[in-house]
Amino acid sequence: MYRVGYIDDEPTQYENFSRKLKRRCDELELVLLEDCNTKEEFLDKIFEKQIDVLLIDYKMAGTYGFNGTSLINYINDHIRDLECFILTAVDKEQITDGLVAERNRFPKTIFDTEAEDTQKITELNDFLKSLKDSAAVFRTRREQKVERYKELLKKKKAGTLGVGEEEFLELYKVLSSYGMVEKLPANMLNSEFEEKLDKLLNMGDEIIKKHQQE
Amino acid sequence: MRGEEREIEFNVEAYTARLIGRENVSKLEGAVLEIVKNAYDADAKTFCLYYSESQNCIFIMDNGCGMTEDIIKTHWMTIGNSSKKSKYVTPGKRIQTGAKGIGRFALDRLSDRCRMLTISDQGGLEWIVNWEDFDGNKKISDVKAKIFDTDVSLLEYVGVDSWMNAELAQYIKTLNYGGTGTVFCLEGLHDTWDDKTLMRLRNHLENLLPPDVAEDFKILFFADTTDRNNAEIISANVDSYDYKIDFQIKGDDLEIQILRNEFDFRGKEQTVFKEADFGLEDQQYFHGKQKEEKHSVQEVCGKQNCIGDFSGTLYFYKITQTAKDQEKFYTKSITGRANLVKRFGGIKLYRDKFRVRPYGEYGDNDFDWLELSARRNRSPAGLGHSTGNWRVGAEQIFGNVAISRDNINLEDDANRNGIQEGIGLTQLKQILLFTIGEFERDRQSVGRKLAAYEKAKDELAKKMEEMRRLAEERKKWEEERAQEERSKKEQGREQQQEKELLRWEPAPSANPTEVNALLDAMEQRKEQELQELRDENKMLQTLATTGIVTNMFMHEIRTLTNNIGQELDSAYEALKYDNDMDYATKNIMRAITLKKNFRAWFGITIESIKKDKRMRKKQNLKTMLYGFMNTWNEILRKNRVILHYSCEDNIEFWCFEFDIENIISNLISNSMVSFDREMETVLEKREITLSISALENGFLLDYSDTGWGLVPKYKERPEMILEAFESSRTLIGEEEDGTGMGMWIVNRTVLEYNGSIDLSENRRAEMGFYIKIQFVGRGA
Repeated sequence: MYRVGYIDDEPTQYENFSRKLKRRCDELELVLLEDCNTKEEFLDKIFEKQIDVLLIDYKMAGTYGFNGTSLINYINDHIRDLECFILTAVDKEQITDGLVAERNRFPKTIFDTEAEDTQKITELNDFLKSLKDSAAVFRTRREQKVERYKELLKKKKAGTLGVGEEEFLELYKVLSSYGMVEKLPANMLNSEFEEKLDKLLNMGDEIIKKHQQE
Repeated sequence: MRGEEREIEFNVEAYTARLIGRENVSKLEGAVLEIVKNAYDADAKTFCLYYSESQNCIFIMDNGCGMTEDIIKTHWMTIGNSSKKSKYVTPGKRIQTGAKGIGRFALDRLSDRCRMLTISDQGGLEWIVNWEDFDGNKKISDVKAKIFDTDVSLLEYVGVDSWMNAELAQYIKTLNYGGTGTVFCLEGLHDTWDDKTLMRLRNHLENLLPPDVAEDFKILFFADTTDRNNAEIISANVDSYDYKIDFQIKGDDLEIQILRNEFDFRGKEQTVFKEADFGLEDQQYFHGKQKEEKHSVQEVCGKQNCIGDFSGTLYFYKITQTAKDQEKFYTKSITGRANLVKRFGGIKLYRDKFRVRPYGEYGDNDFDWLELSARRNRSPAGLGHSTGNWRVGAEQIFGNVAISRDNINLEDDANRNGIQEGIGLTQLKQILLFTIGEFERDRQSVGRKLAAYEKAKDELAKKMEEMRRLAEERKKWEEERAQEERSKKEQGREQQQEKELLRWEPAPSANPTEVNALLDAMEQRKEQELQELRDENKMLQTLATTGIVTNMFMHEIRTLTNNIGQELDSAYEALKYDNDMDYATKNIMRAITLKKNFRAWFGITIESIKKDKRMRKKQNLKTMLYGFMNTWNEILRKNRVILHYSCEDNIEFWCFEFDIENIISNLISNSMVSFDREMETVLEKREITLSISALENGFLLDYSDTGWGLVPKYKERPEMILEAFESSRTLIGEEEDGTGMGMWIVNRTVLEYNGSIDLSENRRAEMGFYIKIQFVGRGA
């Protein structure tokens, strides 16, 4: 089962969409991401709900200060492999900020099959298929990254991680959130570099203090 | 029955080819201009034409980029092969565009024999042709020109040291003829090159050069005895432009200097200044003072300068003008003006003094690279139009923009001609369009005053003419009457009765009351016709507003219809697959609620054109707006906007209902767009305040919102939003968000009620939008 996240400032159609999805495709489950106000909160929610693919409403600036496209931009900065789709009531051509490719923009009417109109059903099935594909790809990539993570973890423990620090923390954040690797104690997550820097700064402070006393 | 198949070729006699060429360049003036143009197109900095009487030959020299052997073969030697059909690129990636198809026949027009030396960066080549070879019955492919490699320099080739005009020879040696370029020696001249001919050619060249060409292209034209001061051709157009606009980008500032040179008040200056209401400052601008403006790049483009410093000069130079316009707008005569833009290009771009083609190249797709024609088509108003914007035509403006290699984001395009598309080019265009806009604004401010002045003058003149006529008739009538009186005394009583009748006869034709009645009737009919046109205009404005409002809320309306469909589809499936009656009922109830909301939208869009709203009558504003404001309130509440609305009880106003509704709809629409602008934070308040209060002779509509306010481009000059096609996102390269029509319609409507608009609060306020509209009633 893949988890399809759904973000909308007015999620009045959530239940209808959710039922539709259940009927047409038993491998997908629609999960409403709510009670968030900032991009950071949405990101945390994605981790919390272990989302595999994401649907986001476009026009939300009136409620959150940002539109769906900027939110996707932010999310992909943090979770590169999570595929996100825009769902919108406006013409998809009217979204001109250039942040989301056209193939990832769909009208909300994609869920309206107009009492089983054949054409509409084909369109919906195609859409669901691309959701499923995207979710599967994200899962495969995560699994592959577990290997890389283990490699880095070994180095970290041996104290030879160096510049790999950032990559390690990023992988840890995603993989541990999705329950694919064990949680680490907090002290393991402090960057070695930062520790060293702190040490240096403290030394500097002491030298200055000494100097002032003299 | 067919026999053996053979193929035969078409060919053309050399003589015919020559004739075709000659047809195109039949006059000496045309031939010389063609040669000058070729040099200009080759990016030459100087051009010389020396007629040596002692040697009976002509030397033509330019220090342009020269031609390679390949170019001589495929372009220079191929008749009719104009580079307009296939452009070629020099090693420096510049594009050649001269009309090489027939240009060379210009040389044929001048002489029988021609020697040419051309030096490109691939070396020197000498080319010799005897045009007489084209005569006789030879086929074109049998006529040959000779070509040799050579290492002679341009100056050696023309034997500059043995020139009779030693002064010019000396001068030319200082003019950078050591590198690339092309020179011709023409012998066996066809014309008599006497003083008269030389004078004629000089005049012709002077008249055809645009004023800006002198800055980067020097033309020397001389004979054996011409001295250096008289050799250089100065454009006769140096002072004949209508407007000169200089601009400089310095860091984040845009400085503009506008010079008016178009007007001539023909000795009535003081009267016109006074009666057309030109202030002291304006008067100075008419006398050669530059109007100086300073703006920030942020204000012009909505972002910081991303190009670096650059500058330019533009000239407005109209080529047609009706006698009526000349009279009305007090402009100078433009008789004899040539289409300079056609010959020397429009707005040209130079990088470090080198032309960046094809911008401004006449006939090229990028001639009108700022899309001035499209802009003018969108706003075709004349100069004197009281609300519409006059826009300059692409063929009325030329000049140059100088950038350098120090500028960033303006890289040469590797694949195409010109500059790479991107933020730099977009910003460059925005700055140019803004500068042009400032010039247009200045010219139109003058045009509007003069048009209004003429209209006032016209009406007055008509009235006076009518008075004069009436007085004349009255005088005549009275004279006749006096005559009657006199004859009455002289003649006997028995004839009196007869005379009495006669005396009454001339009276009707001179009766001022009847004349006045007739005039009144005519006036009335005219007024009626005008009224019909005004009503029609009203209707169109309302239709436009309906369109604007519908368009602005397309998202909300679309969401409603989508959701209605979704609920119905959902109900269908709940019944069919789950037999879930409860859920289906919920769906249907929701669809019904949505349908009700939908009706509210109809209330402010489609219903605004209902017939009874198109009647002008005396209205109580509060009653009139009651239902309309309730509908808006309903819509606004759904969009989480609080409306504070108040209207005094006893305001009676003579108006069209939809005029007032249109204004309110346009204002609210703008506020809602502002509330939903993507700004990374959320507005604390989404509120609109509208209060309508009585004035002595009308009413005041005071409107404000708590949105993000005007975009920086309008912050300093909020009144610009009232102009047609102004929209917060009409910058090049971005989609338009609004139509740019809404506030223009508001402005027009207010003007029709002799009202006024105050936007000044927007300059002071950091957030929010503020507008105060005063309506002064026709029969309030």
